[in-house]
Amino acid sequence: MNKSILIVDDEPDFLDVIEVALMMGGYHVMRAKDGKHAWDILENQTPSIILSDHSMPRMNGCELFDLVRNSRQGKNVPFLFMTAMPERITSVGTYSVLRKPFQFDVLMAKVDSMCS
Amino acid sequence: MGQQVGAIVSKPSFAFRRYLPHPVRLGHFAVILDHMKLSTFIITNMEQVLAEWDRFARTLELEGLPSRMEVRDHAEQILRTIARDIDTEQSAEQQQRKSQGLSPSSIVASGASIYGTARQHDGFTLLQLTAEFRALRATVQRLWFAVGNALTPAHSADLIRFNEAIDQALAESVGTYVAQASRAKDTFLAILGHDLRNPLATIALSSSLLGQPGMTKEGIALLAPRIKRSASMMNSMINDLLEYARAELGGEMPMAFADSDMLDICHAAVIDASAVHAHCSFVVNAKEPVLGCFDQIRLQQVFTNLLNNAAQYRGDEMPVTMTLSSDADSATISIQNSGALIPKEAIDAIFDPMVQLAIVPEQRERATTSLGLGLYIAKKIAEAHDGSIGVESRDSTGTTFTVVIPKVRPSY
Repeated sequence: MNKSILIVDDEPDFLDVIEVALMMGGYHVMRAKDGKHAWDILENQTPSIILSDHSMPRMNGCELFDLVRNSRQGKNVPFLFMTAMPERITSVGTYSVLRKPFQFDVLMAKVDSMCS
Repeated sequence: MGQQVGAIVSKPSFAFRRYLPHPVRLGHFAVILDHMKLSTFIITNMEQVLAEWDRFARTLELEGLPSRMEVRDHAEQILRTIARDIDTEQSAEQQQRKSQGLSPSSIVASGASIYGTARQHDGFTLLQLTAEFRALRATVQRLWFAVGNALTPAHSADLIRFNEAIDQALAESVGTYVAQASRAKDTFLAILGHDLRNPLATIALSSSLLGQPGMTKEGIALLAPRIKRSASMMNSMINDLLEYARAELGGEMPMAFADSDMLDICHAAVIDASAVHAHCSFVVNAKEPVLGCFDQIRLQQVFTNLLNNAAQYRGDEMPVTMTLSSDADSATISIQNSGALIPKEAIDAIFDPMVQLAIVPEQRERATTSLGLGLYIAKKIAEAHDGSIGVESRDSTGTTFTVVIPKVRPSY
């Protein structure tokens, strides 16, 4: 069974493109348009990895990360921030960062290593 | 002190008689003034001092700023703070330290700090801020001397305290102002980088995907319009940035006025916005052509920007409504959505990106084109038509931007 990835970004075009990229890499993809939407999804499903933007309306990436890390089901799920402003990440804990923009190869190398 | 009365009496000028405290009669003028501290003089004659300062300030190219009443309120706060400071006991050692900037008054510091913040939020330049203090100092001193105050030891001590307090207030205000402005610029640059990298991320990932083995026709069909849209978004941001830079450097916005129909301009803007927000419903309320002399391209830019903003921040599935009406002199275009309300502090500064960024830089979670340059440019374009732009955000009606454009070409 394919590993599942939750992608979170408020930019719909980017969400579409990264979904195509991850599906080409053999992953099953769940999509959320912001942190709040992602948290709703996480109530019922536990992905193998979470890829999240930082700056989003309603709930940003750091707020989502903090919720996930403090939850029973999400505390061990690898978390990757995809952001153009890594300096805005204030959360404390274990996570990886991919600075936008990035290429397909870089994305897949990162995701594959985090999933393995 | 009584013996000095004769020495300080001078005939007050006729012009200044109106500044005397109500119970004061010219016959008792010198005696009362001999016992009147500068702080009391300021408080007692506040209205007159402010009126005089207001006239003086108007000569300092302080045009186009917030309402004069608002400016007067701030000046009054500063004067009252300074009067309180003058009345505070101060030893010789304290005065020595204060004159060296080592022991500033906490009363003045907090008041002036608030003042500097308010001025930065009001859109004042640093030059205008310092000019205000210059005017305040000059006004009080001029009026104080005009009533015949020679420099008795008591009066000169008051004057020293006043100048110390004004200097400190100015320094505190400038310090706060500069810190706020600097923070806004840092935030501006950070967001600019963020906003440009976001569509660039879509382009970079899409283009690297196109070269992957196994890329299907369906995949190409999905990626191509996203690359195009992202490039268009970046181009739009760069154009806005150039317009902003030109305006900030004092350059004039090139305009091309021609006879045109505002209804056509509105429809063209809706087509542009629909291309970006394909899932948003745009409703146009307009009955008939509105002919006038407009810069069609510029106004289309304004309306497209407002429609895009309205679509981006609307409530789920809610339409964006554009209404065109007119009277004999002007066309009025309003664009309304029913999204989350814009907070009052953001409304006040919504057309000035630097001010806006200084107010709530950290809490803002911004989407794509979020520097606020579009609204700044929209205001400049409306003004270049001798028109105006405003915004209201209410629970009952949502958020409405209203643009009023005269039908005739501006005469400049």
